[in-house]
Amino acid sequence: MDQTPTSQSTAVDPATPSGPEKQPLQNAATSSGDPPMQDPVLLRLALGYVYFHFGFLKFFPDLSPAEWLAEQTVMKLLHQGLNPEHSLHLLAVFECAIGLGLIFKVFPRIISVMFFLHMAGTYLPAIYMPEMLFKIAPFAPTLEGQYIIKNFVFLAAGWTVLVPHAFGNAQRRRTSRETSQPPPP
Amino acid sequence: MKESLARLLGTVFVIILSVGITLTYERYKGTGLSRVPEKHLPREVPPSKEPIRSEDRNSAAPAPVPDPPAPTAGPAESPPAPASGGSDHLEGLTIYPMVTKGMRTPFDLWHYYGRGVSSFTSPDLPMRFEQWLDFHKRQKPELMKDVTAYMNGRYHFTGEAIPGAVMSGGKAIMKGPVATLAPGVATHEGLAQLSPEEIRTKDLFPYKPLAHPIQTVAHMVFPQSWIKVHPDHERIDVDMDIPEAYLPEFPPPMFLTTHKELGDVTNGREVTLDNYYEIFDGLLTPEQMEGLKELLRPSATTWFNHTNHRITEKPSKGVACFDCHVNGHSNGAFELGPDSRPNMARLRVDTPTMRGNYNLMQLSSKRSIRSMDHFAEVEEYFDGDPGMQQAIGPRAVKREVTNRMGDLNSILDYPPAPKLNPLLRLIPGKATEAELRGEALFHGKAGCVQCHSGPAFVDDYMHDLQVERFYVGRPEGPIKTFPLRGIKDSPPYLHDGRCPTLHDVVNFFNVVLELKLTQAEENDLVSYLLCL
Repeated sequence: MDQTPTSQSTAVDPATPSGPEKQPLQNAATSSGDPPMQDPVLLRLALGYVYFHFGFLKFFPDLSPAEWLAEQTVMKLLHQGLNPEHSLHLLAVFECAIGLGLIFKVFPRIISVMFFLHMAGTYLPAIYMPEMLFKIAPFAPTLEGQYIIKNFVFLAAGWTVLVPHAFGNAQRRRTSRETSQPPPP
Repeated sequence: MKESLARLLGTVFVIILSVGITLTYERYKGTGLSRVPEKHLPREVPPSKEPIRSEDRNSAAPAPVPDPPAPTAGPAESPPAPASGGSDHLEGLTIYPMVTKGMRTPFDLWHYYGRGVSSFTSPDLPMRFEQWLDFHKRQKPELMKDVTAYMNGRYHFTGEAIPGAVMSGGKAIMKGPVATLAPGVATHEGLAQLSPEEIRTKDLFPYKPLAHPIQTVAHMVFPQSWIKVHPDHERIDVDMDIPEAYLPEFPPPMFLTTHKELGDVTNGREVTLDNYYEIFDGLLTPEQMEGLKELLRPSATTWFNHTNHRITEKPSKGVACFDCHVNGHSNGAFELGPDSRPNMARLRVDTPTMRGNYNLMQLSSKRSIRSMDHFAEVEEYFDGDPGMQQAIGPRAVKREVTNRMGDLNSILDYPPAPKLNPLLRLIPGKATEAELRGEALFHGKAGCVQCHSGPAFVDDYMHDLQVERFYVGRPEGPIKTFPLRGIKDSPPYLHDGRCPTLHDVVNFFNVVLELKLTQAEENDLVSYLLCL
């Protein structure tokens, strides 16, 4: 299988030698002579901005257009264990934390886990209330359904931005073991 | 260095965004688009000590409000009670959730407040009708499971009857109180010894309001005994939440002021469009007969109609007055009072009996309607929303017809009360000791007679019991006094049915009016009420 990364991909090429220091991914050049991988800074910031903005809106009743969908989903997920306001605030905290993590590039593993949990959660309305998401399932979405389908773009963006940072070291260690080189610190 | 700069820029960006959204919210709330009234006081923000200046407020807003009371010291678990007579009761409340038709709503809706996007609604569903059916088919079992758990948490429905006590048609009358007491309160009598502040602060009040289980749809929820006979009115979204034993009998007897000698003129039957003529020909005047027919004639109303805006699987021909007021009484169906907006602010209301309406100067729980004609006229659109008329048809009941409905309404009598003399006092030779003690309490220590007097045991006024002194909740405001004549036939009690038995309602008033009655005195009062 061809392991040559594309110029936009941040997936770590196992063949890429890692340096003695904690190398930023963008400096890791491939042995094949391809251009070095780029850390998608703008993509990360954009993702962080959207998460923080939309999350922060949820602290204020009425400002978030996704309020009813979010409330109903969290309430169903928790078996009506939280009232709507607290459900929304819980989600707001979650989203703001992801947003801040992405903007400031901190706690990549924790943020990754939160991000993918959140992403999974955004698809729950399709299980809990498909009637609200599809005029005729699965190919004729409502406006809300369309937004949820568009979350596939978010998912891909998050994968691109987060996975190499969060799990890159593990991959590098694995690669180092395979090539009998000392693992990077 | 570069990283520090990036973090600094990120921090500035996050601060700008947070402040921007917060300021936007301040501009947004109170506008026509917002559910948040201008007076919204988030719990996190301590109330300003500065008096509110009138020029700071919208010109259409009410007069300046006094500062909310300062929190009390000690282990306060709930916000302090609003000052008596104060106008600001927002402390501790939260804004109504954003929901659309069909969505579940919190059972503790008394904790919420806010405004609607509009006073008017529309007959459009948020989905296709086939999806609407699927949605409720999936949601209803979950909802009813939660409703049952909630009601069983609030009440111990033991099904135990008061020995020898029956309604006018023979149905057993349930014993109480069945309202569940909070941990730490041993008895209902003990509850009545506590102060309003203590009950509120420790969240001990067992008689909080009842909400409609699905307030986004609302409308009539009929008892199963009635649904068995009228299966076309079975709802796809919700069922009755109070056990059958705690509801009025079905069908109830029907007594006429004009034919006292006949007793129950229906002979145990439910009066319908099919049999009314047979039962009443020769007993009613032509005008009364026409009025009765109108009370039996279904009219397409919100959620019970032929359009997709309905909560029955098959198109419904609508509901008639006598669908809830069966035989001029009540089958215990509940709905939302049509008198407030947004929909979630509407109070759950039980079906009141029509018996004895001839003696009432005021009808309806909140709207102070002054004539039975007017009452019949406005009730055709129970949700009170002319925005629905284009879809389900215009008002059909004209003034001359409502007059005739009023004519029939005017002869619906109370059930017999053989222990009362013409002045509505107990006949000592017929009454028991307990009943006589209850009567003395009614006119004495308990003070019931202050509002429940006259031939119908009602003063025809609306009273604000200020029940929010006992729990954190939106004040319900003045509610019409309910007549006590024939009260044993009309469980559950209070406008929303939060008191399933007479024992509960006596305990409710013992607490709310701070009467400090003993359990024995409460029981005596119940014995007396069974005689009315």
